[in-house]
Amino acid sequence: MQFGTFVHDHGERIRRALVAYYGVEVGGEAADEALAVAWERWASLAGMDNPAGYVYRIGQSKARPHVRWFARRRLFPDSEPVMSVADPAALLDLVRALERLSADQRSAVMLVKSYGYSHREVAALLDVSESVVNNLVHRGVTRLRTLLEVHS
Amino acid sequence: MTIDLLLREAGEHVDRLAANQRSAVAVRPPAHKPTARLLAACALTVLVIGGLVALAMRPGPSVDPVSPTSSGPPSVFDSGADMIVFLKHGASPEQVAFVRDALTSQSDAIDPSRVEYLDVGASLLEARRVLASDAEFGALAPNVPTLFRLYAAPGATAAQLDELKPLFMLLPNVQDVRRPEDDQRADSVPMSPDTTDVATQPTLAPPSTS
Repeated sequence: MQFGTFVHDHGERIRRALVAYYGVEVGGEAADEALAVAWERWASLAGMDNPAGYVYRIGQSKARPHVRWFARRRLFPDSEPVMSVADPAALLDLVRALERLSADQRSAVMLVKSYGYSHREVAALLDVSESVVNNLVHRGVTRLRTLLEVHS
Repeated sequence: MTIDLLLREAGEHVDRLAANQRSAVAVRPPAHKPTARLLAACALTVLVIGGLVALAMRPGPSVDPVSPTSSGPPSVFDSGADMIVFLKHGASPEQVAFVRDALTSQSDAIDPSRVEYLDVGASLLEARRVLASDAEFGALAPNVPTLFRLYAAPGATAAQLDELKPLFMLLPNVQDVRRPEDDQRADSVPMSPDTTDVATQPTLAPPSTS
């Protein structure tokens, strides 16, 4: 697999996972650094069974030293949604509620529910079993409902 | 409205936030044009040297009782900084901005309004001022580390600053973190701990007076 193909197929998923886990600033920066490392080491990464999972873990190792410094900042900065949404206030409430989930729950919920990836894809990326992803999503959504007092 | 629909909208919203963040970093201009910074650093150096010469030519003792370093050999702490954070040579503007954000976020101990960054030009001038010999300067010049000067926030204690040292070392592209007492304890400050030839590593520390 060529590096360009890998980025096309997996780059956005890796970035979304890291942003969901660490927030916009740290996650975005970590994704850039992880993909840069992947480019440098592509000769050895290309033959791996799960290069996306490996690059995601590189991103995690890049992000961890920064977490402390951005602990007081919002994971998702306050910003009015620029796209057309039915209820902007409800959307912002949900984003605030997402920040209150555990990082594992938040990344699983967002990857599955917000971006539509399958449990299998998310499990491979996060290097966990599908049942763990299912559990994280279920608990995360339940907690979101509690936080928002929304009953769909 | 169902929570599933809200979550889908949240995904799009976060994607846009992330895209805005990336574009903001990509187009963020350098704080100053490099040439302007270099010229300003040159002018500042001339002024400082002129002032020092004028002081030296005054009759009578010229020791400043307030500054403990003014009577000793040149030091990177002559500015009165409470901590110096050296960055690896070649750090990009985005990486420098990232470190600056991290440093200024510690407003309990560090005065965020006095975080001074010396870019390559200014750091070269500082190295020229501090290093004792042309050989030392010549060895350091190709890979001069840029640096941040940090000053303690009002009310901050030395212990708070000492606690921050190992944490700042964890920041990306940080090569070394020094406090004034480090210079007093050690004869030399290793400038390139991750380079291979330790024996020939240049230093920014004052030369040994012994």
